[in-house]
Amino acid sequence: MTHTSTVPARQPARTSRLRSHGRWARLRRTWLGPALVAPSFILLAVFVYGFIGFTVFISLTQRWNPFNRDTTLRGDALGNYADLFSTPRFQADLRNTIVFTLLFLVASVAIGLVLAILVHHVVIGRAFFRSVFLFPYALSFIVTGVVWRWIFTPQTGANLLLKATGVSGAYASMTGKPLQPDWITDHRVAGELNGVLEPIIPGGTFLHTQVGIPLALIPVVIAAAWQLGGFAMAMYLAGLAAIPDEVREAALMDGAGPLQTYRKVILPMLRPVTLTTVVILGHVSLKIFDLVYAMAGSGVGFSTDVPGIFVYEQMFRALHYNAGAAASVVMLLLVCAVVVPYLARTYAREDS
Amino acid sequence: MRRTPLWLAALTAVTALTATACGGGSAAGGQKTDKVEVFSWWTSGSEAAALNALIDNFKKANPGVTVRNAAVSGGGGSNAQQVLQTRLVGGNPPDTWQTHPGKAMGEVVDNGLALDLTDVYTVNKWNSAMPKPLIDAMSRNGKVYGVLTGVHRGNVLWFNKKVLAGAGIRVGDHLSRQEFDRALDKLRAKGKTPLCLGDKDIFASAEVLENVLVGRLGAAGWERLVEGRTHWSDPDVRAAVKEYTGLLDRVNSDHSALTWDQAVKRMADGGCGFNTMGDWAYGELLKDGKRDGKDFGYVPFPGSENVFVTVGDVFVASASSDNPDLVKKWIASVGSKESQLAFNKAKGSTPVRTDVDVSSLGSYQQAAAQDFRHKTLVSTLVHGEATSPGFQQAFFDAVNQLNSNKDIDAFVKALDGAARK
Repeated sequence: MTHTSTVPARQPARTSRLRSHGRWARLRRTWLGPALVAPSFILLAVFVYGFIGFTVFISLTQRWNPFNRDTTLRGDALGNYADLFSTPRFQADLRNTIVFTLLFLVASVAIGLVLAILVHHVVIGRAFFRSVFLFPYALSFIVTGVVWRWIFTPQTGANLLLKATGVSGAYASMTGKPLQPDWITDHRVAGELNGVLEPIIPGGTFLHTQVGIPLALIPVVIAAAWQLGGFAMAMYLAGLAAIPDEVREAALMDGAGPLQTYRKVILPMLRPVTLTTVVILGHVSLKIFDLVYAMAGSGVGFSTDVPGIFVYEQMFRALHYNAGAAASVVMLLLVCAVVVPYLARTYAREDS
Repeated sequence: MRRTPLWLAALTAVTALTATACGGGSAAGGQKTDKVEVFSWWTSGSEAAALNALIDNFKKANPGVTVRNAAVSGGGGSNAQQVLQTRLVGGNPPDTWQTHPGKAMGEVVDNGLALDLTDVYTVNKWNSAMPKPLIDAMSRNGKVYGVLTGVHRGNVLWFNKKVLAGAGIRVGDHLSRQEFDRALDKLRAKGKTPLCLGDKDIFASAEVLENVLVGRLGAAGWERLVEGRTHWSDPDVRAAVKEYTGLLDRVNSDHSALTWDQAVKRMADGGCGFNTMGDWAYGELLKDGKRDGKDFGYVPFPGSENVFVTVGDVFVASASSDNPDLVKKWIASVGSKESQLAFNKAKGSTPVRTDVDVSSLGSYQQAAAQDFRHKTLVSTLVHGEATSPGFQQAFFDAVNQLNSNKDIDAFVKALDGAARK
């Protein structure tokens, strides 16, 4: 159907209908929409917002758990949160989440962009490469975790490769020590900032963990970027396809080389794609659980622990539902901190 | 005409959703059934075989009864815990479920969720057939709320005979702490990893520390510590923690990437001399085709010769079961001599009844049964029997921190704080 044929034909029909069942139609016009969305609104209200509210409530109670449904609130209203932020483990979790998210976003966006540009310009086998790079995305995090755990265990995988290729030996002849990193079992924290942070922030010695980059997290970042780099590539491929050829031609006419075209024209045009990718991957990374659980667990000294694992253990092992709920609320706030500015931006643009 | 289906669809959707939302709670009726739902986390080879032995014995004695095996696998029981807790909140508990004695089952009993089983004990005269400390660990105010299927011993030191012989180490029927230290040093001098550890799940580290503590403090000292009568800042406790950090310097560097069974396997394959783990490791060793006494040997963990650290598995019954009489029959069947023997034969643990003839069990199990009857029994912290689940988690977290920073002061302070909560 085309516009020209339907619009004039339908107009009279609608008016005649309106006239014949005026009241019914008006009722339908005002209430049909709300009636249709009402079920989903009710479900959302109960099963999403209701339970978020319940979790917030539990996070304020003394000791609610399934065996003992005691709903007494804590005397010090935010006591569970205060306890939470003072435990070394949760401090390590927050550090890990922030470090992991930053490294992971940079890595997967970079991988995605480079792959997308390569695939976009490859003429032969474009579909093949696109599928190959997108395949990891189809795997579950548990599978990825198990495989990469094997690769990054010191006695297997990567270290055997270093030995077999002679890299380890060559390194030994230079430094006297073979190159056999500890990978996911390394519990050192690089670039420690405690000495810098503690004097600045009032309140002094509240840090019970080292603030820096836990080295054991890097293999986890590699595994995560391997899995989601393909997703970023797909986003960028769509973005690249949406850039009209005229733009490239115009840049060429103005005398820009390929590098300059990318730097000055294409990359700025891809900025909305980057933003979307960062928001989607950002919330994946903030609530990550399964990959870390399968690959590294909590790690020595909680070097790879994340809030998700903390919540799971506090709730189902320790029966500290209130501490678990408080940690969940903190996770929710972290995700909000990433998503809300993006949504606000999007709505602001739609309004203007 | 075109819009009617939309209305219909919306109406159907709303009806369907309302129906599902309301239907959830009313499924469990009040009528008597001849079904027993048995909930556990026993799904691995030997565990499933042991559970089936229990179920078969029960069915033989009660023909016509159906048993629904609701075992949930994975996570060392934490997945099952999650399912169980959800079902308890939803008011839909299984008829009977697996837990550990002592504090682990405390919340269930204290909140009236468990069925009083005292009469089962009286009728079957179990009070004289089972050790009193273990019955006490399942009792509140003189009433018993659970039955043990069997106990594992937590404080066992396993060793690879060939590796030890290669380093000129001979082990008798026990090992003193000094001898253990010397053996570890000899292994290191030979370029061998002295002790295998696999603590991807932190309980394995915690178990090493528990054994060191039991060995150092003795049964009475250990009881005082877990009951809170001794502080964690006590000099003896600190000395034990220091001893533990000393052991950590002699374990494989990739310990946090291995699971406990991978560590047992590495010891069995000659990757190191010793491994300390509860006697569920025995089943792992046999499964790998290793021979008791030829390839591997075992002694109580050094210093803890006179102590048997019990890791017991218990069935409790639901107080809101549709058919309490039938559930009590299940409990009676679990505690019967036949079930105790069949279950523990498959699971590699020790029968709790001291009147069971164990001569048909393997040689390790016979030795363990003898020790169980003659040594002092203490309960484990690592498996949640001696302390609350909350303290157990605090202990795990503190051990994890200790593994990375070796900071004994911080460890002691964290646990003193947790003990006071």
